[in-house]
Amino acid sequence: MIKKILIANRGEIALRIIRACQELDIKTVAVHSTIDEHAMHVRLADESVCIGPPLASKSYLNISSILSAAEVSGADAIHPGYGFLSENAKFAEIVNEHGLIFIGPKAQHISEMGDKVSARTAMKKLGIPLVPGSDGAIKNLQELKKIAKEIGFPILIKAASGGGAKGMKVAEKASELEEAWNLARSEAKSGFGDDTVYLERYLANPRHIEFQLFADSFGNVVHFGERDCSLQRRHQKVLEEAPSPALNEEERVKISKIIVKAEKN
Amino acid sequence: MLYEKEEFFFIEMNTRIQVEHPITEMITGFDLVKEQINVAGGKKLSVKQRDIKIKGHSIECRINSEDPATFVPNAGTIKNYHAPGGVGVRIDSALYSGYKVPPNYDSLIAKLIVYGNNREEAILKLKIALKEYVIDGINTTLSLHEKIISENEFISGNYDIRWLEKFLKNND
Repeated sequence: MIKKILIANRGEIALRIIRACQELDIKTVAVHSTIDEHAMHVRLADESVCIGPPLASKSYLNISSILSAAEVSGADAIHPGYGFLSENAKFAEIVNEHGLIFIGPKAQHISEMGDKVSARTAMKKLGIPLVPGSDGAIKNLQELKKIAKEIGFPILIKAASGGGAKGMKVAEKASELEEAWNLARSEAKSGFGDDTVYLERYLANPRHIEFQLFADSFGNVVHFGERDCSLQRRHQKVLEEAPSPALNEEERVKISKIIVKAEKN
Repeated sequence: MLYEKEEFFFIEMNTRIQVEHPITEMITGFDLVKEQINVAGGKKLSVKQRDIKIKGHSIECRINSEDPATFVPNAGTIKNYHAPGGVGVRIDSALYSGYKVPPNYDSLIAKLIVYGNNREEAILKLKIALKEYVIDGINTTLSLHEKIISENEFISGNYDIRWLEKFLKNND
């Protein structure tokens, strides 16, 4: 039984988690930077701990400060929210090593899905259709040219450790490959400290649809339908809706069956 | 995943609660954060697949502290704050009157979520709620959402991931 949760986040998602905890009769600990002293999550939590200066890397991303805050407040679990440390496998692991519960997937799953190349490999093994592309990281420009020719243009070069638009470059034709390769790798290096890139076919007018999956530690997996997140600016979502206006019931059932089966494995 | 011409392709799996999780909560009636906490505490999932029924339609607008035309983020004090209400209107936000939005973090300051018995009703509720929402003191993307939801492509549901950028370019 969880008795006290430290929320390693701020803003609306911290409030969202505090409200859920209150319903479940679980005590809450807010953490905050100096500039967030008067933020609403600090006001609404049962306790609060200042974890550093405004700069996120020194506060909301500061693993040792957050763990100290958990220790002094006697929290037994940490909810990471979204952003910040939520998809940091190392953080999840350290939280567990300190005898605390990380509210989220196992560290191993975070790291497998966080690296887009290993995620693609895992999904392929489970029979989930992928955008045609390289099976893994691209080693050099020669290999890039060869694979791009095989899958056809336009192609998209993506950072393996990336997210959002950083480290993503489109090449419309073969003559644009070298520049896209160089740009994607340097952005990936500066943005994520890792210049590993992979290649995909660039779809002209797709929709971005997500399925909500949920699993417990007993092997049960369910899905809660899909969300249409196609309204984006620079790969940032602006407006989302559910269900998707584009999917019919038959497609919904077909897709959800495939992914629930994959998640169970 | 990406979906095009009745084909779908996996792109990524996010291993966390998503910003837009409320729209799923609205159409299924389940509290995903409570479920997360219970499951992390060692409980079994409280639901079986057959108990999950999708009903109605939900839309979420991400309100950012940005200029609605240039998208330049801005910080400052919220002088006056009034959140919309009514049946099927939900606000997830940490704003209050007098709050000083710091310049150091993500510009997402509020999520306006609506629920309707069908898509038309959800859009109508969204239109009314956007008009009612007051966030004074800083620039926000509220007016951008009002524009988006009155476009034919949005109303018909016939848009893809390139549509918004084309729309913004044409409205420059």
